[in-house]
Amino acid sequence: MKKQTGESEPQWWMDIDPLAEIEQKADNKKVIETLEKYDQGQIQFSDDFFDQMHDRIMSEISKEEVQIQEQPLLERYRKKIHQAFTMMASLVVIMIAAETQTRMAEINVRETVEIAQALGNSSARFEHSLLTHQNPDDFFVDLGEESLNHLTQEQIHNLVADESQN
Amino acid sequence: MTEKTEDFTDLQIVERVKGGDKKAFSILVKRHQRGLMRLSVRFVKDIDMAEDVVQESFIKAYERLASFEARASFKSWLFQIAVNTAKNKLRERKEGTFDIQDVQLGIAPQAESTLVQTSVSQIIQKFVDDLPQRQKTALVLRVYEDLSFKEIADIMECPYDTAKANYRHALMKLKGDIETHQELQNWKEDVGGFVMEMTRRVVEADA
Repeated sequence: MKKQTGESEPQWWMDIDPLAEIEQKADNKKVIETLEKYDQGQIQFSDDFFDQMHDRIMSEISKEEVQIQEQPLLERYRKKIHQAFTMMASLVVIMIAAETQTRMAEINVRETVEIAQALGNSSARFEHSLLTHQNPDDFFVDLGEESLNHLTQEQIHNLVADESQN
Repeated sequence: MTEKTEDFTDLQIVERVKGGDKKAFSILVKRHQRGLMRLSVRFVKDIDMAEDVVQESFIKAYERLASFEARASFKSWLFQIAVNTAKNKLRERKEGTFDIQDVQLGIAPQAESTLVQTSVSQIIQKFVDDLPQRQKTALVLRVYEDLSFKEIADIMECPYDTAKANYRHALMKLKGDIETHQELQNWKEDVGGFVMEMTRRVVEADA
């Protein structure tokens, strides 16, 4: 059970400080106002300026060599090609991952079979290595065995009798 | 009663132009050339170059009209062409940063020296120009062109949230710059207005 300390645990939503948010918005507004106030880019051009520009653009467009270009086939299907390419790339990645996994599994099986075969070929050595293998449990078994060697026949009988009663 | 071509929407006009009515493109030019010029000046900081950007953008738009699929508005599509054209022009000129002297074309040296002093406007303009390109684009389109984030995202060819994030980062960076700049704390408030007025007069006289 949780210990009641009287202090509330910090909550993630406490990190969102509404005052800080308001402050941030006010700061942004101040910056925008400053930018607008000291804007140098509001250059006024006369109507004549734009009329001339318009005429120049239209005269360029009316030239024979300026034409609406046929959309290249590649461009027309750009989005679909992109989607297809992404899909293929994803598929290749998945296939590579699957292939790698299969290979790993094959290697594992092969190794196991090889070990089994090696053991089959020299079972005597296998037996020996298993028997000589020791772990902490083996140590206590050895210790117990050693203790039993020092007991008398009567003591052993008593122990067996106690064990069977339990 | 037949409807006037001037009343058509951009998309209707685009369809007409695609159908072979070259002259209808004139309406699109008239509708958008001012906005495009304003935007181009902000990016290239050179009136001659901005004119080239506008002209090239309209011609490119005309030539590529077949590829316009109306996923975004014609205006956004046109602005996207203009922003890319301006970037290319700047790259060609190997000059990514703004030099205030480029804007004041044909100004007499005395007047120029008066204007080029470290005014508030210039300092702020420098801050804007020092922003990373994408942040600057988002900021200019939002603050000065009053475009929606959807339109900005279309122009910048990025997701909506990215456009918004770029804009917010730009504002935060500018706030820090303005707050830490000593000269801005002491400057008279009307200096910016003075520079603006002078620039306007000079350009009008030059045109």
